Amino acid sequence: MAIDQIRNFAIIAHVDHGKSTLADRMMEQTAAVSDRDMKAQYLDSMDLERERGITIKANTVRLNYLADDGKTYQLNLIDTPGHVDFNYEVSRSLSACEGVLLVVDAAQGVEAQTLANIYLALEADLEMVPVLNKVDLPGADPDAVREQLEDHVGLDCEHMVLASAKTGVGVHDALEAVVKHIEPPTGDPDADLRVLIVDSWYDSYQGVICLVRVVDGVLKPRTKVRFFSTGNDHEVSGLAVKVPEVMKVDQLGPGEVGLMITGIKSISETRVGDTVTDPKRPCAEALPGFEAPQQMVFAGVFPIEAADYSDLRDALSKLSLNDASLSWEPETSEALGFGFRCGFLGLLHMEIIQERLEREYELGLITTAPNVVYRAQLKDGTEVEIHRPSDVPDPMVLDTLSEPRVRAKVHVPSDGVGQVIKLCEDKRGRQLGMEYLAATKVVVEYDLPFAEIVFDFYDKLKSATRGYASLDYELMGFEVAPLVKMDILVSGEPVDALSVICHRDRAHTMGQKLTVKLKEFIPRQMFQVPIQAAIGKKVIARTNIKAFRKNVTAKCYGGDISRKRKLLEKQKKGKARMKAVGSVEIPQEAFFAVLKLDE
Amino acid sequence: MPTGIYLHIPFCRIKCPYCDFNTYAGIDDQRPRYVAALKEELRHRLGTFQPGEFAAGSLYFGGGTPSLLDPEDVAELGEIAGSPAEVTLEANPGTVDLPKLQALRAAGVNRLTLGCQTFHPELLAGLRRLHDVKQTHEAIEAAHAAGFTELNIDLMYGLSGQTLAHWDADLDQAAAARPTHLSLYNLTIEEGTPFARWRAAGELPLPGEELQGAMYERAVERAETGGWGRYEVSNFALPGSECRHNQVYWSGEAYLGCGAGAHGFAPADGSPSHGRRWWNHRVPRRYCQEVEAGRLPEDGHEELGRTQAMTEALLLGLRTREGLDLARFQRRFGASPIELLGAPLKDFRARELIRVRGTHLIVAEHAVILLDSLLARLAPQVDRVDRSDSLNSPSQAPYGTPTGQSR
Repeated sequence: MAIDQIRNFAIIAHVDHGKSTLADRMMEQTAAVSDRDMKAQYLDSMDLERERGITIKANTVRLNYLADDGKTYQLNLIDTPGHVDFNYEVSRSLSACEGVLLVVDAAQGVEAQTLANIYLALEADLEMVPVLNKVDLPGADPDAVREQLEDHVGLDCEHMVLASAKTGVGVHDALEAVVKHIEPPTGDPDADLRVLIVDSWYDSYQGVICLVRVVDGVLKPRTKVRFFSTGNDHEVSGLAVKVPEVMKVDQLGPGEVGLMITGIKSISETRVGDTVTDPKRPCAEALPGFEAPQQMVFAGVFPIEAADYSDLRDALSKLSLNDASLSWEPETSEALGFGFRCGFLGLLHMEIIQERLEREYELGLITTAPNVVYRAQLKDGTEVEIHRPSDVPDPMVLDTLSEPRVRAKVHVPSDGVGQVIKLCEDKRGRQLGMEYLAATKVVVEYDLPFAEIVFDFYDKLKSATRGYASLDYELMGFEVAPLVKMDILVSGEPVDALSVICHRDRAHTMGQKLTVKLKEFIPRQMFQVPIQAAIGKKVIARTNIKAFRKNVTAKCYGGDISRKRKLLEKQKKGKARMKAVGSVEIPQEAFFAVLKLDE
Repeated sequence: MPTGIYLHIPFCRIKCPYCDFNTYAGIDDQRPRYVAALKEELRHRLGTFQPGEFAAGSLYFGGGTPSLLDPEDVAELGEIAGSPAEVTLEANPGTVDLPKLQALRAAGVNRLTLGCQTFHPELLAGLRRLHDVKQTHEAIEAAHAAGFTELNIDLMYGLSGQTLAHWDADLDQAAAARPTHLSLYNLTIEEGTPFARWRAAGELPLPGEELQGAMYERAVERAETGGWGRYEVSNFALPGSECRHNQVYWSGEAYLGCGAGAHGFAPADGSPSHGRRWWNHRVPRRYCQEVEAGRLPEDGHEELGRTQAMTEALLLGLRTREGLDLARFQRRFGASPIELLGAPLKDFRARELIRVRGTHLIVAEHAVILLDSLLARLAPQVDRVDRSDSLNSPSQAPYGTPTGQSR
């Protein structure tokens, strides 16, 4: 295929604006998928993705498209995840593209993810073609959305496509726009081989499979290739593209995107962002890779049944083969027993992993409230990383604690600036600057403690600005702060899995809120259960869960016995997500109470 | 070995709005047919035993309103049952007078249980009972006059509008009636009853948990001081006057249940089942048709697995003052209840909610009021034996072994 007949593009959109549906229609219209095989949202292959309607791992499909100009084009559609937790995956996918279709819901208009994605595409210097989707809906207002895009975002809407992915209207126009307005890739088939690894995952039959983009040279099966970062050579056992069924190909030339099958047993060999070259004629320089994904939050994951520990370990091993962004190490909790401390990209990532563990591996789990990584400076001059509250060293040896801070940029229409500033100040932020990009568009910059924004900041930002603000942040480093470990005592017993690290000035309020919240989640017991928040030995807040006064079945005769037994059996099932800590049963939700203090 | 026979008499003049028993008003015309079927079923079931294999120690006419039966039928059923030592019949005030009670006594009934419920007219009206307080007193008097030496009085507490003073007065009245046995029941709102609907609609205010708790404690205290010892959650008796029949249920022994919707149980040694429980068709007409067609009127049955049998032993044993027989449990299931119940039991013993007294595990007097909470924590323990891994090796050592890659 001549390189000027190749187009590599992605579809980016806010959640639910119709990205996957548009992809489905494009596949249909180019006959990549027959109606019979058409499952809704073809690209979302994991059950979980399909169910939640979001894409987690990038995916790609090749469409052969006979354009209006009479020529057949090879369109490589690279799917992107749609959540801020997975931004790094989006940028990776975009690095394989020359342009994007920006899908915007014609009724809802520009939303936070739309903006976040636009900035990612701008950063990657990609051509952007806006596609107004759902124009057939009664609430659709294409003119208003166009104005938002042009005035608020400053996007060129000259080639904007009006579409309804649901009915198929405008899909042809979108395909034509890809051909006409997105540049073909450049690359030299005779130059030294340079191939970018966009993604990689482990397949139990074929070994590691890499999604690759050939930049220069020609990649061929049954040849040795060298991985730049490790210097190791491996044989390419096959090449394929998805149409969307997997179809073997005998080469991938410059500009092409496809699958490289390797037979390698560990994905640590095939680092995402690495460059693959020819050992006989290695390229001089690697392609600019990607920053390694960083685990932003850590949480303890414990089996409810101690006997499931090894199954949980196996499940985590298998999951991390396909998800390099998940980290885990053994951890022991006095309250919850043996489990693992897992590192996640963010809260959604955590929820997804938890759900997959429970669903695909049928494990009953208790997950503790997540926290960010802290650092502790000891009196002997050394420093240790804190992955969980119980890591906080004894005051005898502890000198200071420091917390990660981020430089956060919030893009917001000018009428929302007040709300954003209030929110950032509430979250212990320090304003760094404010800039009007246009009359109605402002960038507010804040230095914020990462712990304050990682949990619900994004949701609050969205609701405070009706969805118009978008957030972008980068880690700046650690800063000493007056942090304390607050313990929670249930019935006089400290429950390590409920401890939190918080700012000293907020400990009192937080202790009060947290104990009251726990009262909602912990069911009544036979005896009064005091819940206390304490810093060291000092109790700073206390509440009581009232005891049952009377809880006994009045009658139990011949015909009642089965019924009473079945009731007990049913209650037992309800306890599946409870953990007995001492004499009190604590349900899963209680461990997340700290995230729900404002509800 | 104690064994019992339960005969269900599903007829009532009206259906009380709190009652979820298998009872029916307005089908009196079916009574002769039903009684015939009942005799037939009882004969048939007893006929399946080898001579000497099943000898009932008790016979219980429950309902419904068994006092609506003809004494001749009661006598005949008693004979078919083998004239057990204890023959109980439930009666509602207003359905019995002295001649009727004399006839029942002559028919072999030697234990009478009277559904008095309350001695307050306004509370009786709230329960929509048919009888009035005068009839209650008459029935009690007639029961004594008829020579019933074993007399039980049913009372209810936790009624709409009931105060602790009401309850005290009711307990006084009941004591004055000189019964040998008291059944003191907390009103339970059962699903599907008019009371449940009224409650949901906010039309049935009930005493709060605190007051209901106080009422239960008052009941126990008053009964005990009067000499009626609590031998089960809601049952109290003078020494030697405990109801043998109900003890059959609580000890997990065999009972035959005959009549519409009646349950029966046959314990087994565990190979493979630990017992079989069956239940008859609930609707009287259907029940009669099955019996008349020469079929067992069973609607369903269950074979108890080990876990189920252990759960039942636990939940029934702990309801009684005597408690759970440790040695018998060990014999039946090959597991020590103390070990099986593990940490929760240890905790309850440390808090003195449960005790080991001699050969039995018993719930402390002050903790009976929380028995359901205790059971909710103990019951999940019994299936640990089926997952021996978690019983035998609570401590695993994840350290020292490579735990896969961890980045």
